[in-house]
Amino acid sequence: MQELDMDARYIPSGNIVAREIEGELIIVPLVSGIGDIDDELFSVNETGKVIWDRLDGKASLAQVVQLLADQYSVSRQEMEQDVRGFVGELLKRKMITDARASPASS
Amino acid sequence: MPEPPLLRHKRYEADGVPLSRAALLALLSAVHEKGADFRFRATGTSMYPTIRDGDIITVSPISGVEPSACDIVAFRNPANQQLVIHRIIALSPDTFLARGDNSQPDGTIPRSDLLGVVTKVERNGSPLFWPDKRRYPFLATVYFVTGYWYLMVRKRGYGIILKLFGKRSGETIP
Repeated sequence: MQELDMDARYIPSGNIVAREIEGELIIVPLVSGIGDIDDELFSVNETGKVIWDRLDGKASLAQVVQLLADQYSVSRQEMEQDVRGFVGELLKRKMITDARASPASS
Repeated sequence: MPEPPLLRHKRYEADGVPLSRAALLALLSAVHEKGADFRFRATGTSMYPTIRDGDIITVSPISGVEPSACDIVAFRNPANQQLVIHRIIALSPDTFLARGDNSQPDGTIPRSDLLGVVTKVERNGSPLFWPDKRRYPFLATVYFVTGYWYLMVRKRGYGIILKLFGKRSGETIP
């Protein structure tokens, strides 16, 4: 499993478009000024969307895990595994950035 | 909780047509809001032979481009709120008329529904000759006007030939 700083706060990258369309969260990376949905179109499932909605720079990953574990009555370990996997994938694809490094962060 | 993958890379070959035209419209608008071009796979035959089913087309934001007759553009169809890629055949300050090269006219469309201009078309992995209206406005105008009239003459020519052989005119170009 990828090592993640659970105290970090993440926000969506400025180089993506994320829209909920027909009940599905779609993410399109913008590469070299092009949103290419023929090659780069991602969909996020229900669990992913719940996590995505919490990646607003306000809560750390550890807080997100605790909050969602309480909200959905699942074990903290199970939720942490989902969050780590999902956030790791988003980081790998540069779809989110560390809010602390972002000029927009307060 | 549902099973992984939480993030899925959708691929045309595996998923078929991944999005509806209404969804395409929403994504195109979102991508254009960020000033980026929108690249996607065309479906349908209404622009045949200029754009074919399966061609990859790039639509650039309309800002900075003065649209003119014969340009191939993306717009929101006010009748069904879906994305359409067709050719402008006439325009006024507030509205324009459009039609596909292989379909009936779309009627009068408000200029506010004009979303972008097609700046690139790829077929079988290779880009077609397609002047970018933003970079080469004069060349693009000459190319698309010439192309449009060539298609019209070709259609009429076929109509006359078909009539001579006793077939109905107005059939689409095969």
